[in-house]
Amino acid sequence: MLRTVKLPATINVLGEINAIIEETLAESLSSSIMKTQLVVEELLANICNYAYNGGDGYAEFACGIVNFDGKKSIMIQLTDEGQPYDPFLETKAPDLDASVEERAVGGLGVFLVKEIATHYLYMRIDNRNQTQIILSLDDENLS
Amino acid sequence: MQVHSSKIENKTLFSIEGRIDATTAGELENIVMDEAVAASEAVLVDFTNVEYISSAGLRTMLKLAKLCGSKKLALRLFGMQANVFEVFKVSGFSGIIKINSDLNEALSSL
Repeated sequence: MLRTVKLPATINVLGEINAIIEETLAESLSSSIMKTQLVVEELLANICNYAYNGGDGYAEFACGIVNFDGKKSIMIQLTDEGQPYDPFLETKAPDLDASVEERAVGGLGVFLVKEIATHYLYMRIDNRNQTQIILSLDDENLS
Repeated sequence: MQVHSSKIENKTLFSIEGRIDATTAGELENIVMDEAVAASEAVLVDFTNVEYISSAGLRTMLKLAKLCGSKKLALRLFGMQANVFEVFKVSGFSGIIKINSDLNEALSSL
């Protein structure tokens, strides 16, 4: 079952969201919990900064264990009412070979999400932005 | 998140504890950048008690690395838990910032 909460779209709700993730995934490995928290933080930061441009709004967050392609997986879903914004489309992959001096500060969050996620999806639906992430739980013996 | 700074053999050592995320990275950045400006030999960052890092924390480490580079100071991060190291690896940061397994290895690599 998915656990869903609607919260103000501000980075200050991270603590609350992290606690919900820990509760919802209590049976999972700490590495899975951390990856889930990382994905949610990065997507939430983008919603605050780009979908709402730093203005007021809400973000709906859902997370839970699902069966995806026959495998137990973590599903994360974020929905907002901001302006159309596809985080996966607009992110240029950072230059991983750049030196410290050349390396740009920023643009990393969504790149991390893409690397960590097994699947990621964005859709514009009912005047909302919605992202869905699937994280594999292959290495865990969840029944 | 807490950060404690000290000196070891004239080198500046930051020991970070807790979570480095979008709500704490700014505070961490203020502290380490202020103190690193005054560092004279090398900067060491102890990650032993860091439980979590996101891109916000990576940005702080990149700014620190750029500052150290411009001041010709060696920078060593050490003691990372597997989850935290994974984020450095995936981001490509482990290829541009030197990461050691523990303090002794970090010191002897200088």
